[in-house]
Amino acid sequence: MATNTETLGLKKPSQEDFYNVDDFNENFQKIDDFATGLKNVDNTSDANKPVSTAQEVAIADAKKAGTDAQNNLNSHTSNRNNPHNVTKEQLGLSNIVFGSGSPVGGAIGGGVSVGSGGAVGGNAKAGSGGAVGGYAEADTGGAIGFSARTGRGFAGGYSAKTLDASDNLIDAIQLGYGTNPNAKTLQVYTYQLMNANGLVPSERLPIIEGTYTGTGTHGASNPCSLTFPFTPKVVFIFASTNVDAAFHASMPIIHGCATARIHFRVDASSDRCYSDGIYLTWGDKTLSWYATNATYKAPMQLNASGVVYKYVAIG
Amino acid sequence: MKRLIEIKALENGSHRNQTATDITPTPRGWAVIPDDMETPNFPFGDIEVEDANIMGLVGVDGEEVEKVIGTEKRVTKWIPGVVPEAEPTPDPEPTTEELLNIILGVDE
Repeated sequence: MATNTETLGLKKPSQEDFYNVDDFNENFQKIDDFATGLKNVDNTSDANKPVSTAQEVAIADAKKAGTDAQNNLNSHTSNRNNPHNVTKEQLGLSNIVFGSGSPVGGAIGGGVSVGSGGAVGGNAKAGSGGAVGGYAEADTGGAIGFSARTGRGFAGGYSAKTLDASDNLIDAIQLGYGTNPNAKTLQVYTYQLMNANGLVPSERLPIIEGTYTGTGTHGASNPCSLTFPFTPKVVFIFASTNVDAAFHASMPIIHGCATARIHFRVDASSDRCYSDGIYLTWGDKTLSWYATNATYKAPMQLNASGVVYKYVAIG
Repeated sequence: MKRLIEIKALENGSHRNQTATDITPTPRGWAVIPDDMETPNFPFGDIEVEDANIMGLVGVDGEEVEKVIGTEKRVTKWIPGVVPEAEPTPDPEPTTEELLNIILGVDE
């Protein structure tokens, strides 16, 4: 029994069918009709396909609209003249005085008072200096931090103040919480780092002095020791009481050395002096030493019984 | 001036000791002697110590408050010890000149 092809429906006689010219012609006619359709297809590439006049106009209009929008956006974003007429009330800054709105200088913050300087922060107050922070106050100096107050100096930190005993602003520097009552000095918290003469107070320098009382012992198993608040670079030790019993001993010590020389007077009548070796051991902030002199024993270790030795260490 | 003493005594009954303008913290094994404590025969004696708080000013909410910032050993009792008799001062060794005179039999 004859069948048909799926696409063009051409007749396919079976093996048992007789040849029929009409079937043959009918198939060729379908093929010819199909070929006629293919012949009319436009094979132009996409890039070269023709555009209608209407489409061309529409495309040009869209391109111009895009260009105009970009130009307008560029112009707007470069406009620094408040084009939207935003007011400081709209920004919630109605209580703030900017620049020329203040008496002379500049002020930002509610309740500020300013002379020719600048003040930033609630109730900040500045003469011709600058005050930053709530209740900060500066005369002609600078005050930064809540309740920081200064005269012609500087106060930085919470409640940092430079005031005299009568609560008057003075010319000094205070860093950190605290009040500096001494004019022309620098104070950090409660520690004065520079006095009015521009010098560092001695208690701030890496120098320590003190004493120890000799125990009368000596030798490697009985070393003397001192502890310091820093690593000393130089240590000087002198017998300061009962110096005859101590043979007037003294000893300079340099940090890092394994030994030092003790100097002592052995004969008061002739003022004859000797020196002997001392063995040193250094810790981070400690120094210990011992002597092995079998003749003079403990005094040669700067450790005569009951003798007070004075030392000075420099860091 | 801070006064420090080593808690452990030496063989002769004395204690290593030190005073200083500033030693912080107190070394381990040492104790602080109160300023008003009498210490006869120092450094020979026995001591009793106890832990004591170290007070210091600390900033709290912008205010300076005295608080405990550490602990240290503190001497509570000083029992004077016996001071050993001083050893006789050794005769100084002869000088080179003295040795030479001895060898030559020369009287000074």
